[in-house]
Amino acid sequence: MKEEEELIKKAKKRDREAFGILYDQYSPAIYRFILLKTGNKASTEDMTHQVFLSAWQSIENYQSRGFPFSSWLYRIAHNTVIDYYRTEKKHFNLETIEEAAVSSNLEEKIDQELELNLIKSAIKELSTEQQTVLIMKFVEDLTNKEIAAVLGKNEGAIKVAQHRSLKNIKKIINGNLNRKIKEV
Amino acid sequence: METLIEKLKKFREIQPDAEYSQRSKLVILATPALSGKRPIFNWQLAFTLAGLLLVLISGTLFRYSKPSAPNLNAQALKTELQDLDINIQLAKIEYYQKVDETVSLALKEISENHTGNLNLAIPAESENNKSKEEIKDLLDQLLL
Repeated sequence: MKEEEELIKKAKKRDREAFGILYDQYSPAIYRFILLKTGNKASTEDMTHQVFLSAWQSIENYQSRGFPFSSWLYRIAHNTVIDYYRTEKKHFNLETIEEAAVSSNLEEKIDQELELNLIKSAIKELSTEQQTVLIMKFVEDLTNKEIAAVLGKNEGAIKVAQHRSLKNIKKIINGNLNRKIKEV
Repeated sequence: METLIEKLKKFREIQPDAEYSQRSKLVILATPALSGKRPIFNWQLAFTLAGLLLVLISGTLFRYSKPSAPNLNAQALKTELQDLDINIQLAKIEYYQKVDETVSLALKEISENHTGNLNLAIPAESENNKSKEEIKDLLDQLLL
């Protein structure tokens, strides 16, 4: 944590190397966060770039206030995605998502990919807030306090949102599965 | 539910392309800050300027606002003030005329009366000198 504080201090003084380290550390998480929300690789790359560009250009204004640097980045990412949907109104086919292989076994890999695609499409059907809570809590393992800081809500509201997001995603997955079975 | 959470955790394995990340990072780091170093916000200066602005606004409002008393009429006050000035000037003229009259009357009276009597102390003084000389003569005689 102290190391990170030092890096931030240096980055605030326009130290490229220090910000480069912060970029390497947090860009995968921000990339995942955006990808799971948008479902499009090209848009995710553009938005991730935009998030870190904004962070680099305004890092002088960053104040810790007891929250990790990642909370600040997630807040920028959250707003970037909201702006993206507000202005572009684009919807992408989730089947185009590319990801790293989880298993070496081809059959298992296909099953896993099908399952993961089903979950991804279900995430996309959640509300923006539920998406954010679900990804931050269950994918990125952030604390409720950190999530609350990103969304500007209290921890109680985050707990409620977590419960609802899990309940809703389960319902959506089941619905989508039944529909696919009927189609087959 | 647990299975779903476990599956969600698998998404952590998603990584951006290494090539994309490298390229993006280089572009970002080559971008300058939005407007150089931003000036530090000075609360003291802000409050001073706000106070100054408030004084200016209130001064302007006070200057251009109409009088709150309904009976006050600026035009009537102006006319009254002008009349007052004329009255003062008339009183002055009247005073100077009276002074002139008094002075001219006094001069006329002096010129008409005997000038020899203007200073009544002179004959008394000469009489006094005479008696002094007599006393002096008497003393001289006694001493001799």
